[in-house]
Amino acid sequence: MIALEIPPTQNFIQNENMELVLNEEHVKNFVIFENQPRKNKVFNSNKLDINRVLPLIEKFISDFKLNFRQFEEVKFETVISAFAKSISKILLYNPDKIGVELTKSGTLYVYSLISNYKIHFEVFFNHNIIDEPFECVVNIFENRSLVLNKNGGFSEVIKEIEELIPTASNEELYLTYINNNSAYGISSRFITEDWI
Amino acid sequence: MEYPQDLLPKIGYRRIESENGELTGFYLMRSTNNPDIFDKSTEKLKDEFLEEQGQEYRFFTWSCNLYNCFDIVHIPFKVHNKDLTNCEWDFESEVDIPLINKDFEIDEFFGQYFILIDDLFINTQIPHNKAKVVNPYAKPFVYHSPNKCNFWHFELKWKDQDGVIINRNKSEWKNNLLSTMKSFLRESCIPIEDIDQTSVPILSSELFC
Repeated sequence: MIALEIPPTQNFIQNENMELVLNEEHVKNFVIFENQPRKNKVFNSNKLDINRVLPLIEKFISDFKLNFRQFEEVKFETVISAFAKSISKILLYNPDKIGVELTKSGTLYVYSLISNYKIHFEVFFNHNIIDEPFECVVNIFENRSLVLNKNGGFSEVIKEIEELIPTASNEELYLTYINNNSAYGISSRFITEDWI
Repeated sequence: MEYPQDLLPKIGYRRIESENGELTGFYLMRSTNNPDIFDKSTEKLKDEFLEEQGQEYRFFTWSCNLYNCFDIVHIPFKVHNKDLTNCEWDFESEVDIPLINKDFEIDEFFGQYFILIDDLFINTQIPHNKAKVVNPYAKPFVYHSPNKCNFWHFELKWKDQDGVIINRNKSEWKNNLLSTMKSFLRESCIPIEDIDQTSVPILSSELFC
């Protein structure tokens, strides 16, 4: 199990240059391995490949340290939640490529390549959608043509993506993992009883 | 250091048209003040080069240069005299050669990325699916806009469904239009390594003389 834990406070430490200081302890607190039940965890999947998740978390934290001022008016829990939900969902497709950027414009941008589909997924925290913590916009290109453009709440947008690109069933994903195990270098601990 | 005279507009030059495929195969080049342009995780153009802090939605007009006429060796010539850059050349006047320090300086710290013009014309029409709005879209176009120190200066702009130039993010399109335009640009912008230099055509003088 991987969990991304919400830090208890949004009051981060700043150094003399007013730069955000996130030390190793902070990072460690973001990521918890194995089955450690925590109340605040928002990112929780035992079906994902740690070798793919960790670089994304590291990039997210790295970008956040650089651009945290753009997110000062957003609850950090909301940003974490948007990140975790987005990459969790996209990783279930076992994408050929996935990358994340927490932008200087104050948005979360996730790019992924799934077969011929190039997926641009952006999360805005300045929005007017009632009852939604953030607004998502997805644009999917196939062979350089735009085949899907949708904005709205997370569930609404994900539903549109799933209609275009059905998520593989757990069984199919499991088989993909087994087949690609050596290629992806997956640790054996990820094939757990729960997974099977 | 002398300013490259092959950049200057000359009497007899005319505007380069592009709406009928005249610039097929050509690239627009945009220069930056930082060589670190592509995000290491997404491998796409960093958001900061799409939008500039304090100048939200600046990509509604992108300043570009026609690659191969304006080359990488020309990028370090940074013109700071706004009289030379802020208004379009009138296609009649003879221009003075810019002088170092007075008009320009040399800055060797830069980056650049490219957009194949064909991609903009063929692929980029942005639909909008909001029910209240009937078939709006944003469509890019390339406009030759030479200034007094650079004849090869172009602008990448966007029109709406009525052919009106978009210069701000319409409130009912907010976020969706913005993000979609950025997605198109991220799809189109490439590093120099991705260009087959042998395939870039040479501009025929018939197009501008």
